[in-house]
Amino acid sequence: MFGLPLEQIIFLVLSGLSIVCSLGLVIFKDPVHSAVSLVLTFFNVAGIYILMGAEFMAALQVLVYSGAILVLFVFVMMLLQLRPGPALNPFRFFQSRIAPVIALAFLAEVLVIIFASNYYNNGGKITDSANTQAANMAKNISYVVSSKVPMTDTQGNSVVKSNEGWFSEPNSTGHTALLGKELYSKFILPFEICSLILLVAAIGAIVIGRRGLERDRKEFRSVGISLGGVAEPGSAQEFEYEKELKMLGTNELDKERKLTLKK
Amino acid sequence: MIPTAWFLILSGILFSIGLTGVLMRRNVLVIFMCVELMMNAVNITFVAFARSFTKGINFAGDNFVVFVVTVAAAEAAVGLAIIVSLATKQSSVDADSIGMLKD
Repeated sequence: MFGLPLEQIIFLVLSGLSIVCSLGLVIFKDPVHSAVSLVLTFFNVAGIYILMGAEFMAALQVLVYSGAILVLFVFVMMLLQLRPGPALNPFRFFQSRIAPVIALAFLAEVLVIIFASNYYNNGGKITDSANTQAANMAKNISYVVSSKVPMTDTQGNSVVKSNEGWFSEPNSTGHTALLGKELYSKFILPFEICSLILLVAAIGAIVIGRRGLERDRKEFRSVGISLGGVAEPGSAQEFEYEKELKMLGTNELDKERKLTLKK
Repeated sequence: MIPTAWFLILSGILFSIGLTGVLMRRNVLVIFMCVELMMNAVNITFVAFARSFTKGINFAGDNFVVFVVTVAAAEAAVGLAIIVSLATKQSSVDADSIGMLKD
C-alpha cells in the first residue's frame, strides 16, 4: 500500500508501538502504569518474533516474561503498597537531564556499527533483504497440515534421516521442532545447568525473603566465652555470662538458659 | 522480507530506552523493569542474527534466547526478594535513600 511489502509495514507498526510503550515505561510516575506498559511492549516484541519465524520465542515471551515475571513485579508492588513517585530532588534534576544524553550517545554508537557493517557487506546498500534466512525458511515451512512436509533445508540436505535405532529425526521443520532438536542434543549441558539455576534462585528467594523465626534468632546467639562451668568472679567468663543474661527475654528457651547460667 | 538491520536498529533503540530508565528513575522496581527491557532487546538481536544467514540453518541464537529468559526469570525472583526485604526494613523503595552500609 505504501510501496513496501506487507511484512515490512507490519514490522514498522509493531516496532513503533513497542518503542512508544517502552517510552511509557520510562516516563510514567506510577510503577503500576510502568508495568502495564512493559507488558504491552512484550506483546509487541512477541509479534516481531512471529514475523521472524520464531513462534516458540513469541510463546516464551508471552508466557514467561509477561505472564510470570511481570506478574511477580505487580504482586511485589501490591505487597509494598507503592504510591506514585515523588518530585525530583535537586541531585536527580541534573541526573535526569544527563541520562537521555548518555543513552543517545550509546544509540548513536550502535547505529554507526549497524550501518557501517551492512553497507560494507551489501555492496553499498544498507540492507539486503531478499536473500536472508527468513526468506528461505518461509519458502520451506508450511503452517498448514498438508501432505507436503518439507524434507530438505535450504541447501538441499535432507533433514529426515532413516529410522535407525531410537534416534529418528523429527519430520517437521517448524521452529519449535528444530529448536528442540538442537536444545536437547547440542545444548543439553546448558539446559541442565539452567534447571540448576532455577533451583538455586528459588532457594535463594525463599531464604532472603523470609522474616526469620524467633527461635532462629535466639538460638545462635554468640557468646564470647562459654565453658559451661562455674564462673570465677571477675573473670571474662562471668562478664560474658552477665552480658548474655541481659540479652535474654522471657521465652521458654531463655528461662532454661537463665537457670544454667546462674549455676 | 525484513532486512536484518531493521531488527538490530529496533534492538538498539529498545536497549537505549532501557538504559535511560535505569539511569533516570528513582524507584528500584522500575529500574529492575528497565533491566528486563534491556534483556529483551538483546534477545531480539540474538534471533535476528540467527535468521541472517544465507546458507544453511543455524539455530544457536534461538537456543541462547531460552537461556537468557531463564536467567532473567531467576534474577527477577532473587532481586525481588532482596527488594522486598530491603523495603520492609526502610519502608521505601527509593534508590537514593539506601545507605545502610555507608559510614
